[in-house]
Amino acid sequence: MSKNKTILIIGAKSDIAVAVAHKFASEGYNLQLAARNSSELDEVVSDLKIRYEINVSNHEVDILKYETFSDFIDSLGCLPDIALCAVGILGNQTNDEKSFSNSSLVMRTNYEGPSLLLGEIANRFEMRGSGSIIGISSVAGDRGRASNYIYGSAKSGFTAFLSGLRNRLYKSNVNVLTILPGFVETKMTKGLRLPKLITASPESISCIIYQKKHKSKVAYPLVWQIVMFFIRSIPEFIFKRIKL
Amino acid sequence: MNELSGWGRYRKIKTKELTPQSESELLEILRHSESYIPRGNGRSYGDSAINKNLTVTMTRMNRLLQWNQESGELVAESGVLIADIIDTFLPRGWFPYVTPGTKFVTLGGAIACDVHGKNHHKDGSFGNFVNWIEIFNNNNEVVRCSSDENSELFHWTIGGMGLTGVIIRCSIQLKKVESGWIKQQTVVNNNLNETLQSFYEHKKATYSVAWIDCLAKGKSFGRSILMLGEHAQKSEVEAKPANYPKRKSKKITFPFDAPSFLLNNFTVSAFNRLYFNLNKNKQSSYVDWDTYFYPLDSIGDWNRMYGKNGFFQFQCVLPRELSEQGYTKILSTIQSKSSGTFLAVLKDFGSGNGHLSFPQEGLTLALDFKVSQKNIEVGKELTDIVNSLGGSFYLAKDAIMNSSQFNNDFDKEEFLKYRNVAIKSEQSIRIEL
Repeated sequence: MSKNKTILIIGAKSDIAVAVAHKFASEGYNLQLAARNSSELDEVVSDLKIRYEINVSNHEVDILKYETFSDFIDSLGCLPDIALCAVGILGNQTNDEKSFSNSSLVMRTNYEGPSLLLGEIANRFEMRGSGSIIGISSVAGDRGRASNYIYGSAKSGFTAFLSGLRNRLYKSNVNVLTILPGFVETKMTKGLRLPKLITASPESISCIIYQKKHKSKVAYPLVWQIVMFFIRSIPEFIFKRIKL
Repeated sequence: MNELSGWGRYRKIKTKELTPQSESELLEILRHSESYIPRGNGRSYGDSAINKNLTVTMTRMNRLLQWNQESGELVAESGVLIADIIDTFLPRGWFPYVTPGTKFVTLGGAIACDVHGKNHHKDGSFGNFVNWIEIFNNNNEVVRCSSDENSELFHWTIGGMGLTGVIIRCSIQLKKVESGWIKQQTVVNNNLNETLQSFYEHKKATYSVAWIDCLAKGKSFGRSILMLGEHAQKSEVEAKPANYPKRKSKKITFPFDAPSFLLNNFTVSAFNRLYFNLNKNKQSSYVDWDTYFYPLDSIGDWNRMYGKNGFFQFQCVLPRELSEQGYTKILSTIQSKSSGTFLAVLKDFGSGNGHLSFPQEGLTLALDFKVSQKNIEVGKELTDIVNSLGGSFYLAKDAIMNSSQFNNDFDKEEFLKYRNVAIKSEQSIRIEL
C-alpha cells in the first residue's frame, strides 16, 4: 500500500472535503486530513479507513496561524502528491460590512490563509519537481455583488493567487487547479434558498475534482460556466443597478 | 418546512426536517426539542417516521466506526445503510445476517422496526444480531444497552419504532459467506393448502418466501411460488465472473407517477397469471445477491407505480394453526372487495423477540394496496379479521390502523417506563402507542 498516492485535504471537515476524501479513497489514494479541532474528524477517519482499506491520518492546522504552516507541512510524514484546500467561511455580509474584525476574519480565512499555505506547499512541490495543487475558490469571486462581496473579494484574491501560481509553476511539472463549484448543498449554505437547477451535490463536485486533478486550469460545473459567462458580460453601469 | 411521507407516499405531511452530521449537533437539537421523531432513510411505508413538529433524519450520521475482520463485528453510526455494509464487507466475505427486501434501510431503522428477512424461520429478526445500542434515552442521556446492560431498554428498543430514544450507534454481527451468489430453487404450489404445507416441508432452507397469487380463484385459490435460497459455496460458483459480484446499477427509474387506473384487478390478475407460469418451470439456478434479495431496488422510485395517491401496505402475522382459516378469509375478502393489490408475499416466522417486535411464531402475509377509499375500507376489514384471530401487525408497514385496532400483545405499562415522551410519530399518535 505504500505505493499508493497521497492527497492532503486542508479544511477536511467541510462537506466538499469529505466527499473528495471518499472519492479519492475509493480510487485507492491514502489521505492526510487536516483541520482545526481535527479530533472532530475521528469518525470520518475510521469510516474512510474501514470502507476503503487505505491509510488515513488526521492533522491539526489553523488556517489563521501562518507561523505554524512550515512545521505543519514537515509533520505530515510524507509530502503528498496532491494538496487540496477546501477552507472557507461565508460570513454574514450585512453584519460583516459594519465590523472590521468580522470582515478581516472572512478575508483572512478565505484568502490569506489558504493562499499562504498552498503557496508554501507549492514551493515544496516545485523543489521536488512534481505535485498537484487544488484550490476550491468560488464563483462569488468572479464579480463582487452587494449580497456577499466581502466573501467574494477574498475568493477573488484566492482565485488570482492560484492563477498566478499556475502561471509561475507551468514549466515545473506542478499543476494548479482552481475549482469554482457554484452553489453546493452543504453546511455552509444551509438555510439559504438555492435554485435547484444550478445547485450541485458535494459528490458531483468531488467527481469533477478527481477528473481534473492533474489539469492546470479553472474548472466550473458546466451550467456555471454558462451562468458566469453572462454575469461577467453585464456592463458595470447596468450591473451596479441590479439586485444580485 | 418539508413535505415528508413514508415509502408508500401515503400520508404526506408537512414537517420541519433536520439532518445532523455529528453526535454533538444531534444532541443539541434533541435537548431543545419538545416533540420529535428520528427517521432513517424513509423506507417504512406509513407515517411512523414523521413528526409534524420536527423530524430528525439520521442519514448523515453514517460512519463506520470499528470493524473486526476476524469476528465480523461492526460498530457503526445508526444512519449507515445496509447497502453500505454490503458494498464494504461482502468483498471481504461478510454479509448481513438479516436483511429486509430493500438494502436502502438504515441500521437505526432496522433496529427500530426489528426488520426480518427470508430467513426468519431459522435465524430470527435483525435484533438477534445486535450486540449493543447507544441511545439518547428518556433521561436525555446517551446510554449503552445490550442484553446484559440496561437489558429492558435494549429489548424495548428492538422493534420499538424509535420511541424509546434516538439510536446513535450500534454494534452488529455479520455473517461469514463464501460468495455473493445464492442458489435459488422454486417450488410450485397449486393452492393455499399446498402453499402452507410447502413452508413446513422446506423449513430447513436458509431462505424461503412465497409469492402468492392473491387473485386466483377456484381450485387455484392461494396458489404460490415458494422461492428457496442458500448461500452458494465458493466451489459452486467458480465459473462465475466474480465470486463477490458488485451491486447492480439502477436499470430504470420510474420517471413519473403512473396513472392509477393502470393497476386494477384485471391487469394485476393478468400479470399474476403470467408471473406464475413463467416461474412454474424454472430450474434451480445461481443468482447474485442483489437480484435475489432486492429485486425491487433495481427499479428506482418504484413506489411511483401506484400513482400519485400512493399505496399502503398491510402486513400481519397469524398463529400457525389459524393460518389456513385466516388467510382463506383474507384472500376472499381481497378478491371480492379490493382493487389493484399487486404484491402479495407469504412467509413463515420462527419464534420472535417479544416486547414490541413484530415477528412471532406463525405465518405472515404482506400486501400492497393502491390508496383509495375502497381499499382503505378493505384494509380496515382485514385488520378486524386479524384481530379476531389473535394476530398482530407490522408497524413499519401500517398507515391506516386506529388505536382500537392496534392490539399487538405487549406490556404497555412496562413499555412506558422506557418510552421517551418527547418522541412521537404521526403513527404513535394515531394508534396511541
